[in-house]
Amino acid sequence: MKANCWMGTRRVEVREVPDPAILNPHDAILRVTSTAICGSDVHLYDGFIPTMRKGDVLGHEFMGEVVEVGKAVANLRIGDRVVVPFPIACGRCTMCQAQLYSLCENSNPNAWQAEQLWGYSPCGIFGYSHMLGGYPGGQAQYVRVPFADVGALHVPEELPDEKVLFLSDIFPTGYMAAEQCNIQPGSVVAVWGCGPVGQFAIASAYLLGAERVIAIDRFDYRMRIARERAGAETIDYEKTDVYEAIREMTGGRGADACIDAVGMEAHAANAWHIYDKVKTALMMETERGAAVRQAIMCCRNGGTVSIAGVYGGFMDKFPLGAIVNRSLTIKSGQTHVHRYMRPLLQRIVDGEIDPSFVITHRMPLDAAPEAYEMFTNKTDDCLKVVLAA
Amino acid sequence: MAQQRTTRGRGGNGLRWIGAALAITGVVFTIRRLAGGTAAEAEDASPPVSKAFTVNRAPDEVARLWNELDPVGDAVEHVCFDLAPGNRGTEVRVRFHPRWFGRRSPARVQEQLRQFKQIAETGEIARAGNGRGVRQYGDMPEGGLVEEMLVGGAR
Repeated sequence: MKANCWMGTRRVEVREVPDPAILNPHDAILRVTSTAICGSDVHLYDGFIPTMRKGDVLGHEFMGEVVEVGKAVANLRIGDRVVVPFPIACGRCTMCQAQLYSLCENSNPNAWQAEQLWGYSPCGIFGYSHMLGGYPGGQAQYVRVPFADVGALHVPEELPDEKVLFLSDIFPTGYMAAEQCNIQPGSVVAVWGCGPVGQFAIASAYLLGAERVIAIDRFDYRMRIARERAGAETIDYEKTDVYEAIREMTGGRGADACIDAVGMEAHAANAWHIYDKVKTALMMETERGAAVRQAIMCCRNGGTVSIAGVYGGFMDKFPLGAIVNRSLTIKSGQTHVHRYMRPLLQRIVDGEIDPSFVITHRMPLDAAPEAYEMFTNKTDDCLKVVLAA
Repeated sequence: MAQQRTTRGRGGNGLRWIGAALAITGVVFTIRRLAGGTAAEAEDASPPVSKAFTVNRAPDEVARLWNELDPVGDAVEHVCFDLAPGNRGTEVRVRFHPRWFGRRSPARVQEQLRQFKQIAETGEIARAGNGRGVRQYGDMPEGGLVEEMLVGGAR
């Protein structure tokens, strides 16, 4: 089959690789119909995530048709149309039973690697480094889905792929980021990053009752979508002092909650950017933390900072003093996608939201290398690419 | 100019030495962690190592499955099964005299216990199946649970 493979920093290739096979009783094989490139794939593309190997199949946002099932999968049949969560979860361990699916204790065969870096291991993830399992991803014609009985969600025939595909990651991820904000009537939420997750965080904050959502970015086309489609007010951080602007907009209080939808490759319009570029280049820190630092500083006393962006290791100059002295709450985690899929599917069915508003490009799988380049460099007003496998 | 170059060279060497020292510390730390102790402790006369993990099933079920599958054979000398607090199943503790390599290395025992937990909770062992050879670090030794699962088949 054809699959989009990581071949080194800033290099992906669509290559011929072996078809997946059923390896375990709870597996299923899907014929992928649609798959997307995620902002977190850019961290792999840019070489920020360790334990990638040449030839790894990328992709953790995908859906398709079931073509084969393992003997222990009772709830799927050949021909079913399903969307699959990016975290792989067994559904039986203590964490899964507490609905903390991204902390599944049984799905990462390389848990020992993650334990070396983080103390304990989270779940395995499709196409996202060997430290997180080394599972081939879904930017391919076919994909093996472990614990398919727990993860794969049937989708109604009448909904096209592009309305339900983002249940695999970015819609639940934006939603969980907003849910963690403890939104109350009158809440003002600030969102760093108007990428796809940022757009869903904005939309979700409104779904959960926020009074105002302020979004921070520097790309006009992304801020325009945030205003016109998600309903945010926007701040261009290259033109405006973000701290002063938020202070002004909130009557001097600061935002009730701040969402970081940027992650480890943050850009800043000030000296922080150079500082982080130098330190990451010298391997003296592993992430550029400009967005989360600013989110912390802009949060009101006693407020919540919700981190949806991906971080992998050790950040420098993390303002712990602000958190401690101002009673801030930090909430984070890889998304427990499984617990959000059904309720969010219902919101789509009910017409409360159409997640396809983030799609700017539809391309064939063969065009993955151009798509990665375009999405990473933000050319051609690219916000979200869907690949047809 | 020559002096400037020398200074830069020294600075570079200094960074390299710091880097090397950090790397060595990291390697030593990792080896000690993987081995569960120092070289001296690896001898049989050394104190035994303990490894613990929690299985989300009742103690009698876990004990029965342990006896049935015998996941670590004679690599460990002592095993106990205790009710975990907070309705979280069974705490399994094993004790053994570690060796640097082979079936009694703490890393290998740890991975076997992890796979036993996987079997006990899900009935299967997590495998990526990325086409680069099934056997990876931490896999069970031949004749262990993995082999049984493979013989059993998944389809």
